[in-house]
Amino acid sequence: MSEAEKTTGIVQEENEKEQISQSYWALVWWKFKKNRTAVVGGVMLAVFYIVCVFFAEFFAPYSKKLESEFIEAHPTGLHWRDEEGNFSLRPFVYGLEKKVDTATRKRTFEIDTTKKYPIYFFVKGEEVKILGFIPTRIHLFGTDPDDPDARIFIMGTDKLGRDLFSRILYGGRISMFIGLFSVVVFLGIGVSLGAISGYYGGATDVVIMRITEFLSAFPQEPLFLALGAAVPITWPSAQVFFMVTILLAIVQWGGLARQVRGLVLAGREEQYVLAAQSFGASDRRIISKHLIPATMSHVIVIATLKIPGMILLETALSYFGLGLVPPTVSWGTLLQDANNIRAIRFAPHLLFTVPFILLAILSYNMLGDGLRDAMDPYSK
Amino acid sequence: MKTKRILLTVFALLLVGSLLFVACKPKPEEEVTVEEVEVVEEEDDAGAIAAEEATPVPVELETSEYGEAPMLAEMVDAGDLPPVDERLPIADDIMVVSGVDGIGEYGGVWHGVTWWQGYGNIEMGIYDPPVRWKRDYTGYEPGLLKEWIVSEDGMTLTWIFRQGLKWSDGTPFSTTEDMGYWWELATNEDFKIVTIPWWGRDSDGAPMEVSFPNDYTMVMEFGEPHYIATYVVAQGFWEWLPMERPKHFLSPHDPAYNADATYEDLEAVVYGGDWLGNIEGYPCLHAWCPTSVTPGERTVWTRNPYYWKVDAEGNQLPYIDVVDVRLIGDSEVRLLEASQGKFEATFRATDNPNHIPFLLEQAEAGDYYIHDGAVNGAGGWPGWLINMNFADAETYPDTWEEIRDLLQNEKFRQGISHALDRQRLIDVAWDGIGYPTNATISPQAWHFASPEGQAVYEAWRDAYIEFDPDLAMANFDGIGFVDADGDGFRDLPSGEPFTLVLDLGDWGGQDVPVPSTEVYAGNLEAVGIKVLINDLMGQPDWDLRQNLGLYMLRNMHASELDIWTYPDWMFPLRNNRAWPLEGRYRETGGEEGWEPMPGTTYAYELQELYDLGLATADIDARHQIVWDAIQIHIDHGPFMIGGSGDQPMPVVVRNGFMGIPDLVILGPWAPGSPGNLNPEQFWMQEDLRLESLGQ
Repeated sequence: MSEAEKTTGIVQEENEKEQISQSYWALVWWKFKKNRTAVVGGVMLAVFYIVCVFFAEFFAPYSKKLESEFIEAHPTGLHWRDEEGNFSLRPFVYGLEKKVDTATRKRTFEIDTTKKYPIYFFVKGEEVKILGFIPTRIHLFGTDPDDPDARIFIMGTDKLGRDLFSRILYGGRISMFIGLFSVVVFLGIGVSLGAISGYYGGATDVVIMRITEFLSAFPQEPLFLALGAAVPITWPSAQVFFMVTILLAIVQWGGLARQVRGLVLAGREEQYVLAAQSFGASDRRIISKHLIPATMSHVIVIATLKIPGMILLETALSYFGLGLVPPTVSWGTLLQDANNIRAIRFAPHLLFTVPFILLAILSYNMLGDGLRDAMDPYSK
Repeated sequence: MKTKRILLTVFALLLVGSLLFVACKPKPEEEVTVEEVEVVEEEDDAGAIAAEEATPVPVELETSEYGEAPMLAEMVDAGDLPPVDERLPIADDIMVVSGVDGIGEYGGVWHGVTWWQGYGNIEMGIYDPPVRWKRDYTGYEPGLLKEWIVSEDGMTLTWIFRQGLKWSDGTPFSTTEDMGYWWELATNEDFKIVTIPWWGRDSDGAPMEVSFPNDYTMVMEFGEPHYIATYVVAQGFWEWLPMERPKHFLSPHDPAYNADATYEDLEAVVYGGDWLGNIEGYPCLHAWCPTSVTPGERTVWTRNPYYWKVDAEGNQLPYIDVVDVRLIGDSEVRLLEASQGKFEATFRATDNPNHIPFLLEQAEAGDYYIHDGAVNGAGGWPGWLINMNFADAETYPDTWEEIRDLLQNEKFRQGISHALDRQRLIDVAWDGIGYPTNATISPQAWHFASPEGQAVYEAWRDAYIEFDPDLAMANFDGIGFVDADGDGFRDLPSGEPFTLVLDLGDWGGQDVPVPSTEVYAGNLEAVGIKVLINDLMGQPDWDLRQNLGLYMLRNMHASELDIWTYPDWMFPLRNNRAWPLEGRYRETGGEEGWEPMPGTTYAYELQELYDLGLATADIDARHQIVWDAIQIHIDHGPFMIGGSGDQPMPVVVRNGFMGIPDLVILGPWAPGSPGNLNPEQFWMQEDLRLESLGQ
């Protein structure tokens, strides 16, 4: 005990605190929690996954297929106070009336203030299956299901009269899931090949690294074009979806493999690897139990930052008709509807998909950024 | 770290802000007077044109002094060009064209646009066949010909060209030389690019015999009556252009005349029928000839100094100096450019009626108007052809015969017609504006001009158009087209699963077929038919699958004013439309395709009627034959499913562009609009003219 400690006793207390052993992951979590932006990103993502990926059937007022007679109708605003100034706590929407002007050859859906349709929560609408197997008729919100004229389109409808909000939720399911899933495949290929390459070196290393260089040198769009054209049109949409995810991963894994290779290259010279080798551990065990876990913090960050890229890539590909195609609903296929002057001028609400994409991407980036800081908990 | 957090927060705030901004509903800028609450689909007057057969309109010339364009007068003064009197044909044979908006002013550049390497839509405007559609669509009149004579038995056609016609480089046109050279090319077995035209053969495939009694006459002799053949040459650009062959220009590239040349060289200048848009310096007989070609970008046509038409005061036509056309593949870019007034007058830059509201909004800013009288003339837009000759044995080795029989079964075809919800289709594809119809030729067709003809049209239009899924399903059940394996979709009578493939292409525009095919697919699934949409937009397979009889249903746009000159919609004569293989049989004289048999696909019966029509001199009797053929289409059809009918067309015309007649029909290509409107008498007022010159 030093002099200073004897007199104050404060340092003693701090020392005691430091001695509480914290695991690496606990430190990461502790640091992550302190980063508000990252937490907000994480929470937003959780909301996205709950609302779109898992329970779109419940949150969407209509199914993605329901075709109404209201075609390219603008969003129906929520009201609490009607024309006469009566206030009701329960919000309502006005009815829509079709108007056709043969002189300007224009059709619009005007708000008809004589018809009011109150909005209810937990209404019984169309029967849907949550997660594909839980049948329910309950939707989060909606109008009176017994009145066929009562409709609520909070983000308007598309060219076939389908509720855009519902379709964005369903589209989000595909787009968010495709991002996640293709990153899993991407990690699988990238990490294992990177680790093998780094661990064995020599000819294996050369071959794998040349493949990654070839892939990264290859312009992506023509590659997708070719691979996309190879998918037979008779394939069901689920299969095409699966194919597209794999395509995304196959084209992208090279960069990750290089990074993992670098880390493994450094890691294999560490003493704990030497120790494992002297104990006679197999290569497979050394790679999977020692080397790959050591790269995990790095890999998780890359993965998190990769997902939004994958989502955007899928969106872009589908927008150009190279990825998913209707009737599969994804954010990319939804945006196809808004790719012409007519839609932008007369049905701008079709662009509502954009803020959803922006928010999802931003959330991932916020989360990924936070994770990157948190994964290195010892830095200031 | 802290700065980053602030930055991110700011970004997030901005984003939420922009979200709110988008969420705010845009306010309607201006209340448009809404004339009707519900669209009234009344088609009291289908507006058929009372057409007469071939009557020339004599227009008397008011003076004997010929005027000419300033740009040509300068060349004459400089001694580069002979005087106008020497450039025109002999005085009696000059064609006088009356101006829609009076006597015009010379000069200006007419800017246009195409999406098509062949420049077909522009060739439509630079249209000068031997016989031409009249400006008002009421029949035919002489063009390059002064007159034509059909012998009493209909087996000899005599074309008498205007005397003193000259190619645009000044070389005299002569039938012995130039038409003779065409016939030489057409009958040259080693050169397949120019062929004997389809109308130049008898029903057994034997070609006509061609002779030239003098240098302005051509005589064609057949073994069967061909009362209609001359009118065929008036159709669109594709019938006459392959015949317009200046010998002095082409023969230096022809191995028969020049030992150093090869057929590849010849092919490069002959350029199929699309030389008018693609071969720089090709001498022509039209108002403007191609003078500058930048492949894939732009073609410029300059006035033909030897053009053979004058206005009522004797001023040599055309009025406009130059036609300058850019190739723009993207329809949205074309629409934007049209909305900015970049084209002085455009008849086909945007062919989608759904663009009219946008174009109307921009009219003031773009200094243009939308021409009121422009219609499409569609008898089915969108519609779907049904393949009566399904022959895809490769994809369906075990079931193709069953599929063929199903498609040939009229109960099936009537069923899928009743399955289509046409009102829904109109709502989706046409903003709710349109009327339901089965597929017909144009309501304006001259066969429908009489009250009797009108009744025939209406019966055809209304056949099998009620939306009745129950009836459709009863039809299917009745022919054993039922769900055998319990998967919810109907199977072939043998129990094999069946998927109906809807081929999707850009016929009828790029924007209309997609949503309408989606609607139809939904309707068909609702009556238990499994459907696959086969997107073939812009792919060679689109036409190939038709020509080889591999498609099941394919989208189309149906219209025609005179079925005799473009018979394919109703009569199987070539390898297209609903009877590709039986048409092929006819086209090849029985060498390829399927032989039509009586009482099967009705190709046999329809071909019989067509031959009867060819041999019928009387025009009313020919209309009667058309009605008989339509009766087959009603009783045993539909061979093509119609959705919705005619639509207005967005013809964008700059203020100050003159000479466009009221009625413009753009759907059927055969009348050659805007070529038949006499574009040589289009002219521009001074402001526009100067703007077009970039001044």
